[in-house]
Amino acid sequence: MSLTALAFTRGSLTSRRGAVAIVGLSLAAALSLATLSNTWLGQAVHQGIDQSLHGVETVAAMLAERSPGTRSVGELALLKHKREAVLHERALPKIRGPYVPPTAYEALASPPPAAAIAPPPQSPLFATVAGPPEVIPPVGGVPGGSFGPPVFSNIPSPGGGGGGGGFTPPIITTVTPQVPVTPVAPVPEPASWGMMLLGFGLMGAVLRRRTSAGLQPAPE
Amino acid sequence: MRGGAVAVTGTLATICAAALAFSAWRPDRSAAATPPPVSSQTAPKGHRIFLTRAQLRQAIASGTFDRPVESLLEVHAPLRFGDYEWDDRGVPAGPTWMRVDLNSQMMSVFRGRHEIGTAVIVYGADGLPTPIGKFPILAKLKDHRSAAYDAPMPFTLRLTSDGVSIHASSVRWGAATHGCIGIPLPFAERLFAATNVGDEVEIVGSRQPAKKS
Repeated sequence: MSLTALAFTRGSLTSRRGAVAIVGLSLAAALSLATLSNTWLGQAVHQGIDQSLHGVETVAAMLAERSPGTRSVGELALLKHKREAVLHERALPKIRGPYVPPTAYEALASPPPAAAIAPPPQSPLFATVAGPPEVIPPVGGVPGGSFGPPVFSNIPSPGGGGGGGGFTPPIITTVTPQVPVTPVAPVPEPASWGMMLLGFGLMGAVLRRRTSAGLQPAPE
Repeated sequence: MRGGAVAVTGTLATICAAALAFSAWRPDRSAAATPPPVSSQTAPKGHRIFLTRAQLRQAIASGTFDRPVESLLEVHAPLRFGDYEWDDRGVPAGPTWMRVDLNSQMMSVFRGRHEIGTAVIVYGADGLPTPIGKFPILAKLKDHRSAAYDAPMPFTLRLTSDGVSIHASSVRWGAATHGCIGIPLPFAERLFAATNVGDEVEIVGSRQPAKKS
C-alpha cells in the first residue's frame, strides 16, 4: 500500500493531481495513525508504561495485593470475653459462728408433737378443708402418707422445710402455732447502739454531777 | 484554484488528524521509571516501590492517601494472618502516621513519605465495630493488662478515651476483637518503639457500624 502510494507520488509531483494525492495520502495516514493510537497502539503504549511500574496500576491495587481478603460475617470469633462481675472474698476472714449441727435446725423447724397440733386425719375439720389425705402430697419427706411437719412462716427453716415446696397445709392456719422463736441479730441495731450510748452518757453525767457536788466546799 | 482549495482543505484535515493523534497518544511523561528525588540526603533501602506522580495523584484523588507518599514496601504475595513486613532502613526521620484499612484487614505504618511497615490486623466484630476516622495516639502502655477483659494487651497505643486501642493480639483467621485493632506481637513491639503520643492513626473502611440491640 505504501509502496504503491510512493510510486504514484513520484510519478505526478508536478501535476495538480499529485498535490491532491499527497494531501489525501497524508490525511489518510494521519487518520490511520489516530485510529491506531486510539486502539491497540495506544493501549500498548499505556500498558508498557504501566508495566514499567511493577505491573500494578493504582496504589489501591498495590495495597489490595497484600491483603488476605475481606472478612465475612460468619467467621467471627471473639478473642477474649468480658469478665463477669463475680463477688470476690474480701481480705477480712469469714466470720464464723459457733457450729450448729443440722439436727438443731431440724429441731427448730420440727413441729411439736403431732397430736398437739394436727388433728388426726379423721378430723372432720381437716377432711372438709384439705380433702382426703391421700390427695395431699407428703410434706417433709415423711413416708407412709403421714403428714409432715408444718412449716411456719416466722420460723427459719433451713433447707426449705424439708422440701415442702411452698405447700402449706391449710390446717395450719386454724391451729394455734407454737411460740415463735424470734431470731436475735448478731450485731446490734443502730437504735440499740444509740440507746446504749445514751445510757452510758447519762451514767457519766450523773457520776460527774455527783463528783462535782461532792467536791464543792461545805457551806460555811 | 480548485486544486489550491483542495490542498488547503487537505492541510487543515491533516493538522486536525495529527492533533487528534497526539491527543490520543499522550504518553505520561511523569510516569517515567526513575524514582523521584528524595528530600533528605538518606535514601530508603530495601525492596521498595517508588510511586510515580500519576500514581500519587490518583491515590490522593481516590482517597487512598491524604498526604504525599513516595514509596511503599514491596510485598510480593498476600500476607497471611500473623505476617508482617518492616523495613525502615535508610528512611529519613519524619512524622510517623498509620493507615488502617478494615476492609482489606491491613495496616501500614509510614514515616514521612515512606512506608516502613505493614501487617495483617484483626478488628472489631460486627456488634462491636471499630470506629472509623482519624485518631491521635492518646497514650502508650507497654505492659498493659485490660481490667475489663482480664487479658494482656502488650504494646497498647490508645486511640480513644473509651479504650479503643492498637495492641498486640492473636492475629488469626476469623478472629475479631471488641473494637480494638489487633496486630502481631513483633510488629506491635516495633510499632510501639516507632510511634509517639500524638501520632495520627487513620482508620478507613466501608463497613457500616452495627446496630446495637
